[in-house]
Amino acid sequence: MQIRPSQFLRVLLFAFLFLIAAGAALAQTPTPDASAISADQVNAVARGLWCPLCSGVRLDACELKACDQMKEMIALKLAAGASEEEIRTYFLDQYGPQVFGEPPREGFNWLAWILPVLGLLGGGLFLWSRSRRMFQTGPEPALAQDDPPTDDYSQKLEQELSRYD
Amino acid sequence: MTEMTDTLPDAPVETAPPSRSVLFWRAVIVLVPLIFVVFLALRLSTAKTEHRAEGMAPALRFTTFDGQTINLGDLRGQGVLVNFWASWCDPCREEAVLLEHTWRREKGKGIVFLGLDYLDQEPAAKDYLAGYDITYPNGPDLRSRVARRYGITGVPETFLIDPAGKIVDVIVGPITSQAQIDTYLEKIRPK
Repeated sequence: MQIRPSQFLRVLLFAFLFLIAAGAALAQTPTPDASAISADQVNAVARGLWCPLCSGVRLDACELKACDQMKEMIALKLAAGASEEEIRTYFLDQYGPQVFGEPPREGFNWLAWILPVLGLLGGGLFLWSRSRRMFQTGPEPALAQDDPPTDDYSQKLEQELSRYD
Repeated sequence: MTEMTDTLPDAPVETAPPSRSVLFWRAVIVLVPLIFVVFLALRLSTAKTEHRAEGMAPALRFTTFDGQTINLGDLRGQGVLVNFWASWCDPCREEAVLLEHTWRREKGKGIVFLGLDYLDQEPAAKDYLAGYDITYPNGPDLRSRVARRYGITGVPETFLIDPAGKIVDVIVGPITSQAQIDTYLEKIRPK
């Protein structure tokens, strides 16, 4: 059987197209489908993170473009099967400890961690020592009513009060 | 009753001197907040100097989005323009085309452009770079380490570093014209 040049070229073209299509299909890596993740799932993770550009705004409540991008990343990570802890670690690497809403435990920032504890300890000790002394002393004995006044001030007070009897 | 109180002399009040423990606690109550305030004041006063508009440029080392490691120390002898940007920053977009255009003109003529992506997400950042066809080295400023070292106040912010490694100027906000950027580049051009 003789193959004509036009047939040969047609077969070659089909083979070429088939190879391209197969290669493209093989090269495609499955991309996580973030649309399958609900807003509640994203917010559950975002609630534990803070907007790195704002002061005191949780990520789930933040409406900045930067926060939207972070939430999109959370959705992507969740869709890819990442755990909440893995996502938190990812954001820690990206933004640092500020994304957890707490000062980094280094240098001057240690004061923010130490001072409240010291304050609580100091206040507790102070209250404890005061209350201990108060209970140890007990109430002062009341003066007997028949006791004679001992000083000028008490005598004058007694005189004044006797005017109202 | 008022008459009575008017005629009575002030009662002599005998108070015992405060005990040692009371004095100690008073000192603690006064000193702890005082020390805190002093530390805070010191911290705030040094924070002001963190914006290094002058002096030697702090160390700068980062990995670009395509995996290239950049070290400012290796760029001595060349003028360096360091631009802090983010994909969510609209003013950054205003200068993106101008920066890239100028970079293509200056490439290989003794001036290097570097871009540092501040508090951003990589997919969005890469889209931004592709959208403006930006070709000079760009990378994420992880944990904002460089931004803090340079004391930036926001984005965009551009530092101009001369061939000796000294910061000669800082542009806060977007660069608005070719004439403006050219004036700055003349300050860092190797002689």
